[in-house]
This record gives sequence, C-alpha cells and structure tokens, in this order.
Amino acid sequence: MARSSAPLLSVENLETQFADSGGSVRAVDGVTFTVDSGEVVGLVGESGSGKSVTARSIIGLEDPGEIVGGSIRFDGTDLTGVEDRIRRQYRGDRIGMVFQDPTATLNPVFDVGEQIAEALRTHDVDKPRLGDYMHLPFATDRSAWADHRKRAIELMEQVDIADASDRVGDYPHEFSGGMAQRAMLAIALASDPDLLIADEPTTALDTTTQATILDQLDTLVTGHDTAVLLVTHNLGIVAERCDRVVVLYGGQVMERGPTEQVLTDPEHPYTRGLLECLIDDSERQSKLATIDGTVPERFAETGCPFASRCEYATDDCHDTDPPVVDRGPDHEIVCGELEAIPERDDGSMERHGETNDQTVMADGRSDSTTADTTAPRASPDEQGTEPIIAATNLSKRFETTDSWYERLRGNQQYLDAVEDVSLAVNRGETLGIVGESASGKSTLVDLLLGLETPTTGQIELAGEPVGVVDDRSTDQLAQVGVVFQHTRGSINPRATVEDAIAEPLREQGWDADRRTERVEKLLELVNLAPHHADRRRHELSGGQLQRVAIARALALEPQLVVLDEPVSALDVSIRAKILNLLQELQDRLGLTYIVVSHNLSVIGHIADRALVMYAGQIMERGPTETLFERPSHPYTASLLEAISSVTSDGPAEPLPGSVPSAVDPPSGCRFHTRCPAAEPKCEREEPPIEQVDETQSRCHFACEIAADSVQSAESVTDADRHADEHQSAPPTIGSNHSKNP
Amino acid sequence: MISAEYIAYRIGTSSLVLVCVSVLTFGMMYLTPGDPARAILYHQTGQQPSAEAVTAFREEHGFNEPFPVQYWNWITDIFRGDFGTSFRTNRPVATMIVDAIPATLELAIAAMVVALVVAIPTGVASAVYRGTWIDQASQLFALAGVSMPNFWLGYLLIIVFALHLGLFPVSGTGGLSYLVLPAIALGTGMAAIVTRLVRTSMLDVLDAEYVDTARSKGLTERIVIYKHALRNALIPVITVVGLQFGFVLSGAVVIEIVFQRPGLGMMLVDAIFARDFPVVQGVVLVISVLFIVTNLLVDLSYRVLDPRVELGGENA
Amino acid sequence: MVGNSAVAELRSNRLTLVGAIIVGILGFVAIVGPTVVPYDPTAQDLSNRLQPPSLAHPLGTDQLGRDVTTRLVYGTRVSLGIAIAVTTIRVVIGTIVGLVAGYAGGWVDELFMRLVDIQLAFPGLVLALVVAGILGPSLRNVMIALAIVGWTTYARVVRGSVLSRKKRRYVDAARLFGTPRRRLFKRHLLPGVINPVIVIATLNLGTVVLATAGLSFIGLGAQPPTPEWGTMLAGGREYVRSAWWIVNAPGVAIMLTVLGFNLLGDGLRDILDPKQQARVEEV
Repeated sequence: MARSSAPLLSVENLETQFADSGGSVRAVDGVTFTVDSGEVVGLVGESGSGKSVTARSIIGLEDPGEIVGGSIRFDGTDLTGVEDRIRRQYRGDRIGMVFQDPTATLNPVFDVGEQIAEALRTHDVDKPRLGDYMHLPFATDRSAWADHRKRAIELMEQVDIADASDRVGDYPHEFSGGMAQRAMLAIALASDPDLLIADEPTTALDTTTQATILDQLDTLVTGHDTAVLLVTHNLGIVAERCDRVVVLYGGQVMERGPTEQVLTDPEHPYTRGLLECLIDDSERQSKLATIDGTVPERFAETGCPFASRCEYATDDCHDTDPPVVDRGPDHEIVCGELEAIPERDDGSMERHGETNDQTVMADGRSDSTTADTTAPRASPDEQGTEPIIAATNLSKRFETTDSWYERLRGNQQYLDAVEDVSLAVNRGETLGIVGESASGKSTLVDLLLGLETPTTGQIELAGEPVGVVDDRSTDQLAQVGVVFQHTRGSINPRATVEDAIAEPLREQGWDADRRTERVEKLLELVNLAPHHADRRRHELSGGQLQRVAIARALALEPQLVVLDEPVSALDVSIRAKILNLLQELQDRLGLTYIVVSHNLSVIGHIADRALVMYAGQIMERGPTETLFERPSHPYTASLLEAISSVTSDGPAEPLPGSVPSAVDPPSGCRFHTRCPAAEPKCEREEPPIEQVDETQSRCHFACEIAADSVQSAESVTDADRHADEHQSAPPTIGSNHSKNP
Repeated sequence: MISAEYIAYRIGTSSLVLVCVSVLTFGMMYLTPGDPARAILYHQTGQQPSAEAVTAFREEHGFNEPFPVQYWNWITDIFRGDFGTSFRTNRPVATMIVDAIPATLELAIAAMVVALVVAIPTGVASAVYRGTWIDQASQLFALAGVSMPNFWLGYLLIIVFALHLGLFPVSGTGGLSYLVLPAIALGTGMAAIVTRLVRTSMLDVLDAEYVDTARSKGLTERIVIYKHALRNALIPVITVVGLQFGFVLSGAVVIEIVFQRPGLGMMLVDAIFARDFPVVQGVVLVISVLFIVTNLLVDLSYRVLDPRVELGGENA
Repeated sequence: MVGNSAVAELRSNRLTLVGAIIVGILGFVAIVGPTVVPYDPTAQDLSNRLQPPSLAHPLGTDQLGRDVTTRLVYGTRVSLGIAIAVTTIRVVIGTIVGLVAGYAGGWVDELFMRLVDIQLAFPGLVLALVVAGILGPSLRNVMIALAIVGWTTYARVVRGSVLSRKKRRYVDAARLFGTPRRRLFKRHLLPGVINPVIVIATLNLGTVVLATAGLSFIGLGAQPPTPEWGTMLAGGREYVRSAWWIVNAPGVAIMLTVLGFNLLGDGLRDILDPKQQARVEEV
C-alpha cells in the first residue's frame, strides 16, 4: 500500500479518562496509531481495552469521559484543539460512524428515511430552517424534503435494502437487525466521508448476517477511497478485512502492524495469548490455551498494563513503561522483555494464505498459557446407549395475541417456536444445539427443562416420562443441572455466592454444615477461591459468575447439565478457560452435556453430536465432525461459511436475508427463501428428513449437498491431516528459523 | 399509526368503564348513613321530617323502586339530557352544570398549560445541565411545588399579587386577569411533578445510543436534544399528563373555593353539604367523563407519538 | 457519568438526611409536643384574638384568640396519625390484591385489574371528597375515603413487580431446584415487592397529609374546633389581609411535612429501588 506523506488520521498519545469515585479511570492511556486514506485498520482488544473509547474520542463522543492528553490529527487538523463547532463539522461530513447494536442506534420515533435524510441535510443546507430540523411537516421546505427523501431511497438501495422506496417510511422496529445496520451504514456514508469508524458493527448480529454487513462495508468503501477504522474483539474479522491492526490492552497499544505479520507472527505476549485462546482450528475437545488472570478493573499507574497477567513479566515491567520496539515497516511492539520470550513454534502460526498448511493453535510449552491435549473421551457408543434424556415429537406453539378482544374476534395468531423435534442424549456425551436468533433453540431448552409446557410431545428422563418442573420429583430434578444464558440474571441479586450455590442443597434438605462443606468443594471444583463465597453477583466478573453458575448446576451431582450459551458473553481469554473447565468437569464427573450456542466454533469444539435448528425445526443432525466437514444441509453449509476465522481462506461467505418470522413461516422448506440451492420444489413441498451417512438432513437434495461438500472439503481434510501431523509431532520450543534479528 | 378499529376498541372499553362508573356514582347516595330520603329532608328543612313527608318524598323521587329500576330511569334520563332537578335550588341539574362547566374547564386547561410550559423546559434544562446549579434550582422548585398545598399557595398568591401588589383581582370570574392566579396555584403542583418526570425521562434518553448516532451525524447539540431526545422523553410523560388531568380536576375543587370561582367544584361541595344528590351525581359523572375522555385522547396521541406501540388491544 | 452519579448520590443522601430529620422532628413533636405546650388548643380567649407573633405567642393567636403554635403542635399529631393510618390500610389492601393478582394470573388478575381501572376512572380526590361528604364530615370518614381511593397504586406496583420477577431466570432456576411454591414466593417474589412498597408508602404519607388538609380545608374533614392544619387554614382565610400568620403557619407546617416525606422517600428510592422511575401520586 502506497503511503502518502501524511496519514489521513493520526492519533498520538491519546489519553481519555473517566471520573470515578476513586479518582480517574484511564480508559485510553497514551494510544498512538495512524490510518491512511483507503486503508482498513483494525482496533482489537477485549472488554476494558479502551478500543471503543478510542474510537469515540476520535469523533468527539468521548463524553462523559474527557480527553486529557495527546492529539487526534485528521487531515492536518488537531481535533482535540478545536472548538466544538469545528469538531462537529467533521462528524458525519468527513468522519462517519457505525455503532454496535443497530436496534438501539436508530431513533425509534422517526422513520428510517428521515434519519438518513437528516444526515444528508446536516451538511447540505447552510442555514436549515427550524422546521426542517424539528421534522414538523407544516414548517418544512417541501421540495428540499422530497429531494432528500429521494436521495435517502438511493442510499438505501446502495446498501442493498430491498424495496427501498416502500421501506423508506418504515420505523426502525420494523427492520431486522441486519437491515437496521444497513440503514446505519447508509447514514454513516451519506456524505461520502473520508473515514468510517465502525465500532463492533456486527457483534450484535446473527452469524449469517455478519458477513453480509462486512461485505457491504467493503463494497461501499472501495472505490471511494474511504478509510475504515474497524473496532472489534473478533480476530477472525481482523484477519479477513484489515490491512493493519492495532492491539490494545488496558488502554495502551500492545502491538501494531500489518495484519498478516501481527497475526501470523505475533511477538507481544498478549497478542500471542489472544491468538492461542481461539478455538478456530484447535483439536476438537482438546484443552485450549488460556491467559492467566482476568482483566483488572484498574490498571496500575506505571508499567505495562499486561504485566500482572504476563508470564514473562519482570519487576521492570511493573515499574517502568515498556519501550516501543520497532520490527520493520510499520510493525511495532510495546514490550520490554521481547528477548526473554521464546520463539513460537513456527509452523503452527503460519497463515494459510502463505503456506498450504492449515494452522493449529497449539504449541508445546508446558506452562499455563499452553495447550496440552487431554486424552479424548470415550466415544458415546462405548458408554452404553441408554439415553439420559429423550424427547419425541416435541412442539411448542405460543399464542401471540393476548388481548381478549382480538381473541373474541378470532384474530388468533400463533408462533410455532419449536416444531416436531425429537432428540436423545446418551450418557457421557455432549449434544450441541446450534441456531441463530429465533431458531427456537432457547424454547427447546425451556421445554427440556420443564419450564414450558410442550404443546405436543413427550420427554423422558432416564427412561421415565416426565412433565413440567412442578410435576417432577426431587430425584428427577436433581438429575438435571442448568446454566442459564444470562448468568447475571439467573442469580438472585440479594444472594451471596454461597447462598446461590447452596440453594439447591437447601431445597433438598441438606443441613447447614453439609451445605457449607459441599459449597467449599464445589468452589474448588470450578477453581474459585473460598473467599468468593461471600461475594454478591455485582462483585463478580463475567467469568467468575459463569463459574458460580456451573458450581450451582453441579451442586446436586446431576448426570445431565444443560448449558445455554455458556460462553457467549465472555472475552476470548475467559471463554477458553470456561470451555476447558467444562471439559475437565465432564471427564472427571462423567457428565452429559446439552450445550446451546449460536457460535459454531464453540459447538464444533465441545460437542460430540449436534443439531442445527432453523425457524423451529431441526435442519440437520449428526456427529459434529461429519456435520462440520461434510454438511448435508445447505443451511449448515452456509453457517459454516459465514464464520470469520483467523485461519480460513478468504472472507466469510454471507448468507442473504434473515430468519423468517415464525408467525408466518415460509411454505415448503423453511429455508428456501435464503437457500442458495433452492428449486421450485423447495417452495412447494416440505422436505422429509433424509439419512445421509451418519447425518440426518431436512433437505430435498441432502445427498447432492453432502457429495458437494465432500469435494469442497477435500482440501480442508487434507489440511486437517497436516494439522494432525503437527499435533502429533513432539513440540519443539524456539526451533526453526528465528524472526528476531 | 392508528386505525379506526383501534379507536372503536378503545371507545368500547372506555364506555364499559363509564357504565361501571355511572352505577357507582348513582349508588353513592346509599352510602349515606340511614335513610337517604330522611337525610335529604332533614338537610332541607333543618328539622326531623315527619313520616308522611318522608313517604311522600320517596314516592315523588322514585326511591321505592328497586335499585336497578332507579338507576335505569336515571341513566336513560341523562341520555335525554335530563340530569334531574336540584333538591336545593329546584333548577334542572343539566342547566346548572352547563353554567358551571366553562369556569372549571377554563381553569383546568389554563393550569395544564401553565404546568407544561414551565415543566418541559425546566425538566429538559435540568437533565441537560445535570448536577449544575440549574439542575439544583429546578429540582428545588420541583420539591417545593410537590410539597406545597395548592390552597395555601393560592392564599400566598392572593396576599402578594392581589392584596399587596394589586396586580390581579382577589377572587371571582371574568377576564383573563381573574384566571392568572388560580391557574398558577393549580398548575404549580403538576408543573413540579412533570418537571421531575421530564428530567428522569430525559436523563434516560440522553444515555440512549441513538442520541450518539444523532451526534455522529454532526447535528448541533440543540437539535440532538430537542429533536432526537425530547421526542422520546415525552412519550412516558404524555401518559402521566393524562392522569394528572384528574389531579387538576380535583385541585380545581379546592382552588375554586379559595378564589371563589363558581364552577363545578364549588357546586359539588355545596351540593354535598346540602345532600343535594342529583347535583352530586351529575357533577361526579361529568367530571369522570371528562377524565375518561382526556385519558382516551392521551392514549391515542401516545400511539401516534410512539410508532413502536402495537395496535392489538390492551398492553400489559 | 461516574463522577456525576457519585456527586448526585452524595447530594441525595444529604437531602435524605434532611428529610429524615424533618420527619424525626415531626414525630417527636407529635408524641411529646402536646405535653409540653402551655396552652389548651381549643380554649378561646376573645380578648386576645388576632395577636401577631410575640414571645407569649410565637406564632400569634387566631380569630378566636387560640395560640397558633399550640394548635400546630396538636395538629401534627392529627395529621401524622391519619397519614399513618390511611397509608397502612392502603398498603395492606393494595399489596394483598397485587400479590394475589400477580401470582394467580388468569381471571383473578383480570378481575382485580379491571376493578383498579374503574377506580382509576374517577379523579382520586373528587371521589374521596364525595365519599367523605356523603358519609358525613368527620376525620374518620376522611380516613375511610382516602383509604378507598389510594390502594390501587400499591396493587399495580406489586402486581407488576411480581409479574416481572416471575419471569426472572433466577426464579426459573429456583423452580428447577424443586423450591416449593411457598418458599419461591417468600424468597424470590416477596423481597422484590417490599422495597417499592416502602418507597411508595413513604411518599404516600406526604400526599395523605396534603389530601387530609385539603378535605379539612373544604370542611369535610376535621370539624372545628379540632386543631387540624387544613381546618386552621380555612378558619384564617377571612383574615389573610390583617392576620397573615393564621393562614401561613399551617401552610408552612403542611409543606415541611410533605417535603420531609418526599425527601425521605426519594432517598429511600435511590437506596432501595434505584431503577424505579419517579412515580406520580394523585391523591
């Protein structure tokens, strides 16, 4: 990439602080980086890294924080030094911004067209009349209004919103998440800015929509020479979309450089740790690498913020600010102990694009940040085949009209959240349930737990039919443990950790002494310290809460544990730890798991068998390996292609459209509206469930799809073989060619 | 965003409520300890009525009929515009109400206007300049306003502005000058409540992400606040304004006494003391209808203002 | 934000303290006051009527020569007594209805909530006025009337709280541990109900003081010569020009009382029920 003399954006030593009762929190603590015209720069970090605050500081939305130091030069002007009026002129006109949650970023009381038109109007009209601004019909310049409306429709068409002229008058709540994010893109790009800041633009969206939005973003900025600052926690997205990357931790830059170099040959211990935590291509059910400790709430005033978690940290790291080490063009690492850090096991980190190897996230060090594979568990068939839980023809229909008046008029509407689902989980195995939002996976969990009454169907627990929770015996209840999705909400805010964990024990009539004893044991089991027992839920981090929830689920020694999105709210480094913990517990206690997740990598990593749900139905099921390598349903294939990964070829493949409304599902095959392989037949006939090898698929063309995916997976399996070879080869430390000069 | 069907539905439910309200209103008479007829006559004459007089009175006013029949006669008469005749003045209640209603409505509406004109800017300023002296002053005003009995405030206003400064008349009805002090006395309490509500609601909204989106477009802070934030912040306020109309109607009773304005309130209080049941029933019914209709209108406007509200019937 | 909220908390705590002190003093005056004041609240002394404030009569005397200070002190007892009684009745009725409606759901809920709707179709004070008036003017009847019109707020808040808590995941979790209904109710649903009720009740004490004074002012509540603030105000209204203290002394007393309860209630809300928005009371 040709570098002009001055970068478009140059952030230097930026410091943004927030006032707090205990002093000021240094959210951004001396961040420096540049963005050139037409370039895509990734700003990555976990929560608390200061990446969002950095992005917001650039556009002047740091409030209630305050920029206390450094400069933000945009096209030659220092934005921190100018008055608000000037700063505002850059917003929207030359710098556009896209935020995380599209359902919250659009104003609910104005139609989408108005919100796009407003972005045009702001910089078009010199002295807009009050009426134009206040959106009062009687005081508006009609012709200008119509003109802006027309251009809003054009913009909506540009971002691929179908029937733009019909939808221009829709309100944000009538848009799906993906659509709303497109509208947001239209707003941000309305005045053709030089820089687009995208703050986690796809995090709140379904996997299949994520790639669409990112593609859209790519298309829109290329050709306009628009630079993009992409803020994300997802290294896969960075790998696929960014030219350069800036890694943040504790409000400071840890490493920055060209994406390829940083991701294939990370030098900073934090960057390395982050990459190693990824599930992407690690051996299924292997132990994942982790980073010790958790992100502290406050960082020390001096020294490297990562020092407290860094295995190579010396006293110097804690006391003095680390030096910036130059590693060739544009690649800088902020670390004082680089010499002490061993070379990475070379082959494992090569990117796929350069060598023909598929990479594996594992290297052979035996300390805490390394992965060591545990012996694979016995396969399900070796463990006896009596299912611990089985459901037959389970369906759940909700009434969506709750007004007696509508009911009287016969305007009854139904929502089939779960339709005709049968499943059986054998002892000791892990069943994964995958689906996007509105797929029915959460309702299915509630049905299995007995929290919802099934409309039809039957559930058997250990061979005995069971009803809803209130009808289950204490023994039956004790057989099933559960970790709910939003852990914070599943623990009573008034309860201490001890109370929370002891709650099931108390209900089963354990006396106080036995309870205390058991709680101690459980805390130890989930690697929590005894002093955590007295904390309440607001005093715990996300990872700690998850451990508490797991401990509570295990209190009564259940055989089956249902885990609903157990790691979706967690940072990468914490996620790896929880997944490791779950596997370890399964091995030690012989547990059976049902894991629900929208994240295919998680299911792929942890599950023996998986169900793929779409619009309330099972689309495909089978052993995870087969399912992921040779999907026989186009939906599964699409889901797999939509994953952004550090190691995959090329960008994620988008899937158009969104999950259809369950109130009015499509005819025939539910997926036909989005299916790349759909034929007229799919619209007419609902496909039967077909057996293809080890998997079952609800597709008319299951066999063909499976055959296709075998072909296309050829290379992948090849790569896997390579990976396996790496895996089995004895790990070498600091071997092969050194990149250090 | 509002269908004729929904309006019909809301009118339907409101009518149902109204029927219940009218039954209760009519039945209130029987709360009187002892025999209502005897009580009425006692109040009229000031002495224990004779048994014959009571019987005759009962006969004349249909008190001997069963309650449903009495109610039916009363309500069907009302539909014909006949609210009965006052026991005390012997004038038709309908005429009395028609005479008294303008003074009360005028007062109530003026008070609401005063309240909203004061409360919305104050609440917005309080939220926008949170923690500054502006916020503290407006919160102090709100606290004092909520705590101050409106009848006392009425006297304070009379003492200062009518007696000492001579700017406004002390009491009575007439032109606009007669309305100023009562409207302020009545509107202050509501202004205080609405100020607090606007502030809370505005603080919530200012935290919303769409406010940052608006800023990211380069809009001026004024437009961000008055177009994007206020419009959303007013949604919860609207409902409360409807409920507050009841507060204002109740308050009007007291304020009319303070300022000696002959309106529904004074009429109601006089009638209560005189056991003049036709008047009491008529006035209570009219006030309830006013209140129900206001809330119906508020509910409908709420749905226009907030496009998210689904038009499917009652919202839990 | 962080800084502002800390400042706000400090300030609200200080205001809460002021509220608590006001309420404390009022309570003290109500209990001890009548035994300390030297005058009889109802003894007329026509030779001493309309005396301006002096050492002997710090707040002057009224149109019948009674010591205004003494009557204010006795009035505190009346006002607080009624406020506490009415609020207690409201809390009990409203909470029971709300709990039953929220927990039982179905037609029971429907029935209770329609009852609340009908109740709310009357402007509160007008209803209280009519009920009290027809029952006959007396403090007891004012209490009954105010209790009848005020319970609905509690019913709605309690019901809402129960309903929202029923949907919480920790309640689901408890059900999965086999927690019996009664304990579920006691441990997870009830505690969530208590805090908002305490907050509303505190604020309500103030509004009841206002409403009682208002009804007495009209002449429907306490009857002369009972030393009640609203009645005192009504008695002094002929003399606003010559003897301003007769009207303003009870006016200030009412305002301080209501202010005290409001400050305390707001503070309690910040502490006990931070998410609850400013609730608006009608009566």
